[in-house]
Amino acid sequence: VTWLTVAAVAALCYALRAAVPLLLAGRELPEPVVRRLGDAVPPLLAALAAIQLSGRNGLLAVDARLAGVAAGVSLFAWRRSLLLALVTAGAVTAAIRAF
Amino acid sequence: MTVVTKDSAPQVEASYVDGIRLVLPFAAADALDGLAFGAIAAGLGLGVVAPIVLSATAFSGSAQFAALTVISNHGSLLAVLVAAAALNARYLAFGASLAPALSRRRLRRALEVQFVTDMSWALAHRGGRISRHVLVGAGATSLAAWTTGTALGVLLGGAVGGYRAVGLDAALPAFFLCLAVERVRERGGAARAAGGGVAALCLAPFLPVGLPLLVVLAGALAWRRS
Repeated sequence: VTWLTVAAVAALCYALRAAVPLLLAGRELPEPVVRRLGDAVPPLLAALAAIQLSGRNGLLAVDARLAGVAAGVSLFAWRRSLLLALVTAGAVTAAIRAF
Repeated sequence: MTVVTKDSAPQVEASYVDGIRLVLPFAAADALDGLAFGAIAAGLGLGVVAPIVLSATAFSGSAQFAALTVISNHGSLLAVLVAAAALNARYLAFGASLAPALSRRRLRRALEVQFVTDMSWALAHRGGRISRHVLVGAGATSLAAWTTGTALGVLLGGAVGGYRAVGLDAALPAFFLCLAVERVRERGGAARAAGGGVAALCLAPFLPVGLPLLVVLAGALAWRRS
């Protein structure tokens, strides 16, 4: 299953990169299509985070990890360093678990 | 901003080396992101080779992290692909803007597109004229950094052992939320983003993993700008 997933994701990423330059030969995508696809990204990212934060039963897990994520994302909103945000999220989570 | 090959000759076309030089400050970040990806993937039991191969071929942080999310929740392959396609649909737009500047030779063109990233695309546009040399130089450097980082992450992650102990399981949701924050800051749509998150939270208890993502994607595409 792992290797099938690897191959499929790799093929898909290449296809998206190559589609327009190779197949459309430089013709542009319609502006509304480009804009809608762009607009769909933030909701999708938020949904991915939400699914990550749900526990086995599908309910939002209020735990050390949620606190860590909140700390990391808050810091990111302030400082805009992705690495700093991820390290903070991990560190806060680990610290709360340790106590 | 002009891309300059030799300091005195701005009209000379930018070279691969210019791309490498321009992207170097960001390549360090790519390597560290790759490190995080490798460590998390290893922690989820994907083995040593698969995460490295994925980084070398798919070469897309958002798609690869999305794949981990679905895999770790035992979601379907279809859900992985839907999430990856939606997150990377921007490549279609990148391709449209780059197409006129790529090589005329088909095989070369097919190779050049593999080096499209957010960063290499943006750098290639500096200086008014799009440079495929900058695109390839920058993209190849990022690819090397990202893949090397992943390899180190897989090895270190395996050495650290339980990834919960160092809070690595918090990095994934934090990563997605940070990207969402960044996009919203640049292009607005806070309400849409919040709506997507809340909808997924509400649907998650009732639907298998991939479906909330599909519902959110469909809803977002149907959403009309006021």
